[in-house]
Amino acid sequence: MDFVGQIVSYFYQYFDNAAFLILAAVGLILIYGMMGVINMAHGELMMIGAYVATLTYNAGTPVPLAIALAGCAAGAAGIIIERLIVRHFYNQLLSSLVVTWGLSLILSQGVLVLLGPSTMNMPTPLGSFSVGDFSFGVYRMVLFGVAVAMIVGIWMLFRYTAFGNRAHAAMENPRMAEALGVNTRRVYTTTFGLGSALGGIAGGMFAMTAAVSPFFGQSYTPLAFITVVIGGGANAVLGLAYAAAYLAGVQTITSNVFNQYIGYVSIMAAAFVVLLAMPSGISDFIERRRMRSMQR
Amino acid sequence: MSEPSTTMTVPHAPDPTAPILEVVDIYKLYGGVHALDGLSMSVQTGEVHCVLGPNGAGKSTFFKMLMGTERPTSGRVVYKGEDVTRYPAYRRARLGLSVKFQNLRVFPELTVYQNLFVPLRRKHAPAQIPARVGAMLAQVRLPGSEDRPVQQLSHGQQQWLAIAMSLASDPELLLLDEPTAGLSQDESEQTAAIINEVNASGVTVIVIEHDMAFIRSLKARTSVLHYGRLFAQGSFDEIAANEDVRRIYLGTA
Amino acid sequence: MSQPNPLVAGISRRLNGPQTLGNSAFFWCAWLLGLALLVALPLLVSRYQVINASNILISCILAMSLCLIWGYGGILSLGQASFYCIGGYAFGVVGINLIDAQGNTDLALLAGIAIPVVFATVLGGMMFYSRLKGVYIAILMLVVSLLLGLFMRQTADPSYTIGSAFLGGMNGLRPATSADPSIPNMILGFGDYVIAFDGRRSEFYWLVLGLTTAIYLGLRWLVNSSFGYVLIACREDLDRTETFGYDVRLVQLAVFCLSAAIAGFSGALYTAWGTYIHPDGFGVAPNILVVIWVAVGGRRDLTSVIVSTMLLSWISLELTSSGEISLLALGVILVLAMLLAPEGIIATAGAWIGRTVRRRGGMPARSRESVT
Repeated sequence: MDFVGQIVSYFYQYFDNAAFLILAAVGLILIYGMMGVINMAHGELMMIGAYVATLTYNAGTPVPLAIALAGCAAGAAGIIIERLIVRHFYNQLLSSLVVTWGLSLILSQGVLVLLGPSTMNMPTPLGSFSVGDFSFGVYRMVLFGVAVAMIVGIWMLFRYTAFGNRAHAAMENPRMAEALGVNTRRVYTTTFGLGSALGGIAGGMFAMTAAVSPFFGQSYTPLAFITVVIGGGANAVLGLAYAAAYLAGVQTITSNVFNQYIGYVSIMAAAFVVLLAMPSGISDFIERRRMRSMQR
Repeated sequence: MSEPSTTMTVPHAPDPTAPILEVVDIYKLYGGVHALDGLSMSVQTGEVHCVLGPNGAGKSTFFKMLMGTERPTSGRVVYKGEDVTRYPAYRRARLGLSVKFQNLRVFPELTVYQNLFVPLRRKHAPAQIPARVGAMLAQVRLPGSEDRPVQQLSHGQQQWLAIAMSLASDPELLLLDEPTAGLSQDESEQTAAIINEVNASGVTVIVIEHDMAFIRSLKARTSVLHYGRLFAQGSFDEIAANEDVRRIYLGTA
Repeated sequence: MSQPNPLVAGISRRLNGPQTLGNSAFFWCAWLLGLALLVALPLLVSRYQVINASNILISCILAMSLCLIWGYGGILSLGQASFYCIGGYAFGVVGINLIDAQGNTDLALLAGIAIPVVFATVLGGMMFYSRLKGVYIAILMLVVSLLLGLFMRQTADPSYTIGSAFLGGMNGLRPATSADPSIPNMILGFGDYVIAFDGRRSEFYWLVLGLTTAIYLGLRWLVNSSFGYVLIACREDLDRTETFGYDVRLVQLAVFCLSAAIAGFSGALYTAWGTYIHPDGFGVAPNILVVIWVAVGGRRDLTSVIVSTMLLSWISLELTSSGEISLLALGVILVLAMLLAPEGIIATAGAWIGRTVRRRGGMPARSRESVT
């Protein structure tokens, strides 16, 4: 019986790790994968979402509404950031990196000044179930479900909606899209806002599993970025799924065999191995393979 | 169709026994697209060799394979009898290969002198460089423009500067990708004169071009690429008279 | 400007050039004046301020290391503080172990330079030869720094002892037992002929000032040399530079290692200054600070970077005394600078001063003959 529990525990950890990576990266996918801008303040937008969710929940708002509000707040912040700052740095990759990093400092330090360094908490809802001697939180499985739903949702958005078509046109060839009557500026702003809102929702959901502090976001940005990068740009949304599946697998194994620290290090090592073999990411690599086999 | 459809005798190849360059059965895939599809050809030491072909025929890809900025999917590049397929670009440069890319790739934020300093410095002591720069600028019709910022040069002048930069390493095989793109009639004639002078000094030159008048003035042996393969080869007059070549350029092939 | 002194002319030719702002006699006069002022600083201000000034100069060395790879080499590292901390830990560990036996910290200082270089060689070798994109390198460096910090935090277990030194986790590096010596000051020399530089005294300040000046002049010489040209060509167009016959990966690796050496050196000085080194140095804040100093000053000019590091560090110190807003203020300064003066505030101001002086005084612009 214990054996079954152990097996379930591994799978549980795996899905938990994958959900973590997907939720942290899903907003960044839109912004980096589609627009080519790296938003180093993404973790801080998640932090804003986490605070909004916690504060509104503690004021009596039901959980789903609190998370929706978190998304709205982060989305609004994202739109302001894009309008005021990020738009001046399109096509300047390293500069956009630095300026958004400065923004992340402003946001985290600003919240520190406003709300102080003490952490806030939100209870984890939905209780737990147990298999053998092992006990598992139901909410963590909900996180994984939400992560999958977000991937599918974004994929459908870009595949089947008019906004998706306009966005694709604006990303592929901005001048041409402009000539065809697409307002590329608005597409960029909307995409950035949407990515930020997804980050806010993820932050709101993580608020129920982690302590919320001004530095809540710092641990997410690098991991999210690694996930996006090794996912690749050919099919960014699918790439995210590949990358999370792969990294979570590596992390689950190494953190069980060794310890949690080695688990983190192995994520980076695993990412590096992928970049050596497939410099433009997993989804590019798979896409290329597919095209080649179709040709032959 | 890996054999050229038209094989003709070379009219006045300087040294037919020693090809400076051979490419053997080169394939290059981008995604699923065959940019080069089994290209084989050779270039004789000392000649000027023109490469013609419709857009997308694989001409620029061919140059990237020669210079080593990208590697072929399969096939071999042999330079002076040495298989250089796996060599990085800097090793090929040291063996005497040099390139001017289609998009000029000059350093726009530096002056003309500084642009030439970088390629010259690898072989020359700093004290010799001002004189070398002066001589090179005279050769490419830009005398006295050492201190001008590159951004202030006209497009034609930037073309010549880019040619000078690729000459700065004293190459034995010079690759020029569209050296007359965006140039006036007069500037194109000057460019042809520069190429002939360079060739007369013993440098083998491969030129990618579209401008027929320009190619005629070079009196060069000409290869036609089509869909990533060698389609025809011969003297310019033979190529110009070739019905098949006319057809692919008119788009009926 | 008509003196034909060959020594002055020779030095001037090597230190001046188009890769640095400030090549005129006017600039060097102002520079000497500034240096004289810095030398005299311990006579003018309180002892507490001298101690802070020493730390600011150490920061200047760290900032120059990032300026070299980012501004001149085009390689942005968001984890430059990791080399600083590795150098600091290396100095501390070797210093604790050898101070009693040797009586000096020569080897510790050497370790503070060598170990970051070894680390940079391995990391840089992997990154550059796999042709990783610049953005990936930037973020990878940050991730490496954060992971090292994470590692150092969990070294509170007594098994993390290297000879007489105990890594100490969150509490920072310390002696393994009460019998072992604590982290030493900078003690240079051999045998009985040693000089000790106590971080709380003016001698240490002068030592660091001398080292900062030497590194500044050395880097000015380097970036205006032929190597500097190749470096800038790599920054502008890496593949094109390779087709000229330069092994550009090796150039990148070399400059990355040099930068790591300088950063590690400053970290060793820092440890000696405070006899203290802590895992927080690997965190986000120290890494972003270096980027702020360099970006706000002007990443493509060494002098601007030094001036901005001094000014911003001083502002940080002033603000720290009035609450926790110094990082917030620096973040605002960074974003404003990136928007209003993308080439850097000090560099932009410096270029303007240069133009004005040249117009007023009719000094000639530099000619290319002096560029070698």
